[in-house]
Amino acid sequence: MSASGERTLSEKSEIAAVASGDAVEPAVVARGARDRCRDAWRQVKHFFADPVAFIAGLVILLLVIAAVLGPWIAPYDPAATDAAASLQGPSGAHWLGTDQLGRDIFSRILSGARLTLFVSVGAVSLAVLVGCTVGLVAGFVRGWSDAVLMRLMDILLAFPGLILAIVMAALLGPGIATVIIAVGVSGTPTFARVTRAATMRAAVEEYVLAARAVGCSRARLLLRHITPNILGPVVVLATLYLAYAVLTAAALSFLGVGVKPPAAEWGAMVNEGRDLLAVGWWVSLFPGVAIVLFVLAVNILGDRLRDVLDVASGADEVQGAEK
Amino acid sequence: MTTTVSTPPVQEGSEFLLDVQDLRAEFRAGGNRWVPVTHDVSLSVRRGEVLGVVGESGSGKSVSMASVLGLMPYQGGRVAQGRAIFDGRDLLTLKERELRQIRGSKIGVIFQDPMTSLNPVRSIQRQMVETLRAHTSLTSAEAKERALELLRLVRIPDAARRLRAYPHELSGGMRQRVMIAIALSCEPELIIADEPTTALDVTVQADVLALLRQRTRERGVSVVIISHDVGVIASLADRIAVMYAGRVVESGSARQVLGHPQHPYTLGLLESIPGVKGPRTERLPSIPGLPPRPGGDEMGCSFRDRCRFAVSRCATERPALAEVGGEPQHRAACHFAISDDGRVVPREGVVGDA
Amino acid sequence: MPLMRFLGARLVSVIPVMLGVSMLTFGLLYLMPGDPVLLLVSGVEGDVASEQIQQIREEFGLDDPLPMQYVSFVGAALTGDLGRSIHQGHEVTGLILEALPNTLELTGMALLIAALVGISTGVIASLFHGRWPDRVSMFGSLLWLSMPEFWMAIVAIMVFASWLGWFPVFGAGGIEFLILPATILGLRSAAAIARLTRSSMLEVTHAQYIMTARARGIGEPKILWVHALRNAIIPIVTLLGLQLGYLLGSTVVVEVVFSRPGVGSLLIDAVLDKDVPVIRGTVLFLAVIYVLVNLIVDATYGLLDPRIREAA
Repeated sequence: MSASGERTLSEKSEIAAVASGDAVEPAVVARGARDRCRDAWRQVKHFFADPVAFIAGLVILLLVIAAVLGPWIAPYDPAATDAAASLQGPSGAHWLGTDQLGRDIFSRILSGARLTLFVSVGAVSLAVLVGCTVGLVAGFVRGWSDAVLMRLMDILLAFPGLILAIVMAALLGPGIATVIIAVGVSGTPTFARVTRAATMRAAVEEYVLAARAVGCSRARLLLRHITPNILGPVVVLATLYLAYAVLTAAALSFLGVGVKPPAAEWGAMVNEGRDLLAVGWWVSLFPGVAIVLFVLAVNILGDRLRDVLDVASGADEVQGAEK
Repeated sequence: MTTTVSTPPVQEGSEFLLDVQDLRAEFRAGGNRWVPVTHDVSLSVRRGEVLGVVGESGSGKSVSMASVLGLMPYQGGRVAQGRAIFDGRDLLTLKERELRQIRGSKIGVIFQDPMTSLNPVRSIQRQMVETLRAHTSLTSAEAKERALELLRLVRIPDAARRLRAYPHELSGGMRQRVMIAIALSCEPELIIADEPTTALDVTVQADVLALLRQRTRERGVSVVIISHDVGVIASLADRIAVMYAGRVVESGSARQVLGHPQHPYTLGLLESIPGVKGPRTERLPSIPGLPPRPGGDEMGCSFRDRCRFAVSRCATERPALAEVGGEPQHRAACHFAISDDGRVVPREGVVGDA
Repeated sequence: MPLMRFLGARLVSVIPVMLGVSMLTFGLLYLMPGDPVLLLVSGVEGDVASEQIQQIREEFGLDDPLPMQYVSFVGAALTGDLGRSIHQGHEVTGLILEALPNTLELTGMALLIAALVGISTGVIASLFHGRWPDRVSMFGSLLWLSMPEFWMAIVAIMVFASWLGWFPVFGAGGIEFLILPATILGLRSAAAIARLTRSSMLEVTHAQYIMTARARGIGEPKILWVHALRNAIIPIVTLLGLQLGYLLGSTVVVEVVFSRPGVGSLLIDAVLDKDVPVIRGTVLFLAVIYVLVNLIVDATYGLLDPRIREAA
């Protein structure tokens, strides 16, 4: 009962493609930069053909614009206090209200966008850099280095994620760098595991064995043949981890061990409004909405990436491990 | 009327135990578009008879059987048209509840891959007992007893221990024996075996086939055996239907179809196995090209692109499945007849239906 | 017994992890900025006279070589002695045990909610694959996963406690104190579990053995609950173990927002006070619990999947 109809169809076209020879061309080496650009554009168009993904992309774009242009487009100085305008509700003058010190919440959210983007992207970059290196080495070299590296990763994984981040933050003292390192380190083992698994899968592929057989150097093998294979899972993981990084960074700042006030960190802003629920619900609410919008958009794009790149198995592992 | 040694006398009612007529099965191709994968398939099995359905993968043979069993909706497909009279009732009009009482009970099923056909986390015993208890009034203890008997019946050594085993603890051949035992467990009148030996080692294939033949013959159970392997079909079948691209292109008794193939596709299939038909050459001939994709054009003969005898008429006029002159029950869907020395002659009275 | 062998192998693999965890927590004292002496007795510099320092160094064995200090740290921890807090010299073990019931109650309730809501939502979504119940629950779970729990806690307090007055706002005690925080923690886990359950169920329901079970005439309810879920549950159990790590971590946040005394709030207070003995104690405690729970999860895995037992 091998045949569902669609599978048969795709099998057929696969066979046809092989037979006609267009699947045999292994790389894009011989093709011009223009072709490649056109291909990339087609893929991007395909990616955003899904309306939900399109909206999510738009949200991210707006956020990036806010992060870059924040200071110029904000209606108020995010740090300027105004005792007369303390705790005003949302109005025409202050779209999202003001906090206890009379600072404009909308302007502060805009300026927090830059901070959030910087911290979360920084943390993910750190996790990718360290985690993927560890995973590649462990998965490719195997043997002792594999055992030692992965034991180390296991030790990091033995701490619940947020606890590890809190301990790191305690060690380093509050600050932006602290949050980046704390969130980055707590994500490292996940990247190491996924990369290692993908490397090991790729290392036994026929064409890698063939490359080995014709005497490819190890460095070339790793760079040209194995790395391209781990890109898919790592990109998907990185996207989903970005969402986690935003949430964790905000939690650290909320708890007071992350980015310190008066910086307009979204988590810290939610914390500032915590005691003002009765008199100013907007102080906590809107920074939280900003976090939700950003994280939701990133999650949607991550899901879409996973579907498009078709790395379901690796990404399930991710969703389990990230939480 | 091809009577074989083991065919019991025809019983009351219809001549056929299973009579499939004009079956058209479709798969969803996204949205509300449905692509037909079988066209007007008609197959029938008499009581005690073995029908072999042969064709390459994607020819619609498995789909036809899934349709008969009412399993198409679970695979994203549907039956658009046709009848499948089993024991006087049209299976295609039955409710799921009624079908369920027939599946596993009156019709036993054996699938291709014994590795994946058994639930990996449940023991052999539980899966056998479960089937027995779904269709009989046996108590749990009686069902266990019966399961043990059945395992011995399919010649599984050390049956008591194997009964408590999990599927992964058995070899492929053993698992397929278990599947045969399950298929036989509720005294079926018909067994549908879909590529029962394809996934097995060559050395085990013969054993499993022999077992299947023996256990069904001695009980007078009818069998539909589906395979892409003409050898398997030839060793078991009383009658043969050859399928190509969703259609039956030739049918008849095993002697007729294997001895005097009347469709170029059948001829090609036979020539591609050593020592069955055709000249002995250094190299076995193969059929060039690939079958057409489902949902393609509706005109002409679907085999024409790969047919060595094709003429322009084959592109415009679909040959009907019609009786071959002088041979009752031997039908082929070709504008030509093939003589014993491998030459083609135009057939009389064959009218295309395109 | 293959299952015992499997468990034995898992147990052995836990040993290096435990060693690493204990070394890290031991090392916290030296990795923290500041003089270890001061960190052990008080966070503030100049609080301790210089002649006292030598006395303290001897008392805590700080002049011993590091390996020896480590051994005595582990030895003490194994007997349940995790040192004393810098505030009023409370025993860390006592503080943890005092806070533990509240935390256990919260995580236990949350895990229960997570498993019940998550698995049933996932199964329903898979049954309605591609139709609106599927889309709604999948988008809902993604939205849920995108909300920071501290913010959800605040919003929940605002709506259910302040405006509607259904629940008491702060503290711990009876079930009425538990419902809001446990629901917030639990539903977030449930969202992750629902997504995995759905994909796992979809994968399993396309398996050949499901088709075979249908061909054997087994009824759909039995196919769903016995054949499909029984296989689909295997990865979900792993996720449940990992979710416990998430829950243990997030209790910190939720306990803070709801002012619930618990291990989490104990830890965050210690971090803010630079109370190193309490940080070490709670972190070690949480990590050990997490590792042990995942060991139990592995054992369950072996019970659920006969193939795993062999592989060990």
